[in-house]
Amino acid sequence: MSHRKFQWTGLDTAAKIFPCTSGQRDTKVFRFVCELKEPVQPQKLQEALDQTLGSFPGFQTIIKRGLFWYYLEDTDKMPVVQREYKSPCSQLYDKDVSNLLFEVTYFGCRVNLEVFHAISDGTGAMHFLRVLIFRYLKRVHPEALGGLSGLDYDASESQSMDDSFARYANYQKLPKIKKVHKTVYRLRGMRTMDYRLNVIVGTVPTKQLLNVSHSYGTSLTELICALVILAIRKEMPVKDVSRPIVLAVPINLRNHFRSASARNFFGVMDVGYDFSQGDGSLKSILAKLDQQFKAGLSPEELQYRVNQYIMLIENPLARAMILSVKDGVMRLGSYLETRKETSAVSNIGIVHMPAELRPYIEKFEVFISTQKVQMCCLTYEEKMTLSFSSAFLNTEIQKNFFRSLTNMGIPVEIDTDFFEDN
Amino acid sequence: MKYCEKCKVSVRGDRERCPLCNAVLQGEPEPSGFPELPDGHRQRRLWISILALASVSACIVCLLLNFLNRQYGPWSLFVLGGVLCMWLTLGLALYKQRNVPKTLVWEVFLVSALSVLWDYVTGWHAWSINFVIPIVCMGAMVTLVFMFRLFSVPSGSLIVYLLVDALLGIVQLMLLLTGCITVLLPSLLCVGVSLMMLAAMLIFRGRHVKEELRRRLHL
Repeated sequence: MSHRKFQWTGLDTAAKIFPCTSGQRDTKVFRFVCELKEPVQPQKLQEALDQTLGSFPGFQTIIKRGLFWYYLEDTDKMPVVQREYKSPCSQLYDKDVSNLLFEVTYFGCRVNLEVFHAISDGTGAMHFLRVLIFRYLKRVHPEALGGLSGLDYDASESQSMDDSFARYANYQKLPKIKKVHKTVYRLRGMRTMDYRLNVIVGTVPTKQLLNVSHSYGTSLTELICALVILAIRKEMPVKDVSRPIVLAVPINLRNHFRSASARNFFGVMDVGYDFSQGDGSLKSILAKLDQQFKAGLSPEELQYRVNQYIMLIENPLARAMILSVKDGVMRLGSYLETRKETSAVSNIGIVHMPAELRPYIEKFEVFISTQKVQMCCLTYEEKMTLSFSSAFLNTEIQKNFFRSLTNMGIPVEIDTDFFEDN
Repeated sequence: MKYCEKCKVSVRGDRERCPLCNAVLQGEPEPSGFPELPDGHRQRRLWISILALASVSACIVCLLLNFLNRQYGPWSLFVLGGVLCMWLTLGLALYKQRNVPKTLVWEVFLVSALSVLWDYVTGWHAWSINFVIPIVCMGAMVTLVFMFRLFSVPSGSLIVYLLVDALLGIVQLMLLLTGCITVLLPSLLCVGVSLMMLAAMLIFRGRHVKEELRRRLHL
């Protein structure tokens, strides 16, 4: 590398939590998959990757430990495209070895991008994958796509490296968002061996699912949350029915504050339903969720989410704590936080690719590491993929969820990384 | 594609049963998007198991022998302590093996602490601060410099490791001045080497040292 884009920078505000809370079980790694119509050509993919890296300086970094904070350091290490060789969302960050914090692998027609959450969030990583696929397809089909000009991602280096939390925090004390105070229902079960992630991906026609959500007069995200809540409800032991089911739903703050950052810029809101205080029908769950989404996406609550991390981090006491103590405090805090959530649903939204690329792309998928069960979904053209990742062996929630879709007459195609041992 | 009658879902991959409900699937298989990976289970290395069994057996035999002839005092506790210390140092090395220079610095601290402890328990002859700490400290410094030449240890990390080790060396100076150290030569050598190492770093890589400290110490 002839010119260094940046030498070092602190982790962005939201990312500060990830290095210390990541472990072998919950690696804080997420994977985006782009399934093409033809088998992947590794050499071309490598070339496209080398080219793409230039537009995303935040990706070619390693994490280091300072006395007080972790920080990102620019590196000369180059990623090497490999055939998929390990279980999805395996550990990328290792505090003893400074490796790159993302990885591109391929298998058959699929290109996998795995990213450690500390360097980027779903939206940032999706940008990366879109640019990568765009450049790859241009190389593979120069005659058909050679004339295509750049993708709509045109952030400058400083824009893509922006810590948008710091930009939009207004340091006003805003009223605290009320959380559910009751003990939340928590999922239990036998965990998978060797920290493997149990991934089940369901592909459904976008239009049919949209039609269902329209018939209930609700958004796709709300419908999916409601169906996940119902799927969990069916597995709840009777003694736990009085406990609310709470889902963590990440919000892409770029939709509400102007930012082209490829680093983290998201907040998390909790939505939930208490079956002891409602009739438990899909309608009543949707009504309750709608209220909570409206409140959660109001300008005040969004501003609160931007502020809350910053205020925590700029606290002089927190800043002067040495890193190993800080690690412990953050681990404890994150443990207490996750106890207040049953599961999580993350909708990445619609993936936009130029129309000319449509004939070459089958679908996109996304899923994330977890210590419980988590759903991630996204939509590309007429295919929506709903992926459950799970640390548990049993698949009852996934079964209930997908059966509720097929019972509505929506065809579902299932794929999984778990093979039968026979 | 295979199909599950019960869940009414199509299933990719060549498998017998539905991944959701375990019912038997119908239809022709279509390839899955995920590769079938070998079992990721890592087996503990055999020599570690053998060593572990050998040390446990040694401890048990010593305890039993000690019980037979109690008149010589609780000598088996020394064996137990020794074995424990060996496993502490070995365990640290195995746990951190992916980063050799870092392990080295950690080992310097561990070995120093353990030697002081042994010295104290066995009636303080000051051999730990007279010999063990200065020699281990110097050895680590020299090894780190060689490692920097032989392997491609990033210079930023090396600066930090050397600094930490050199600082431990300079602590010796305080022990010297307070008169805790009775055999002067090893400690004097260690302090000298540490100071020279610091000077060399500042002279040759002053800018790097400053920059690295700025990164590592940012608030």
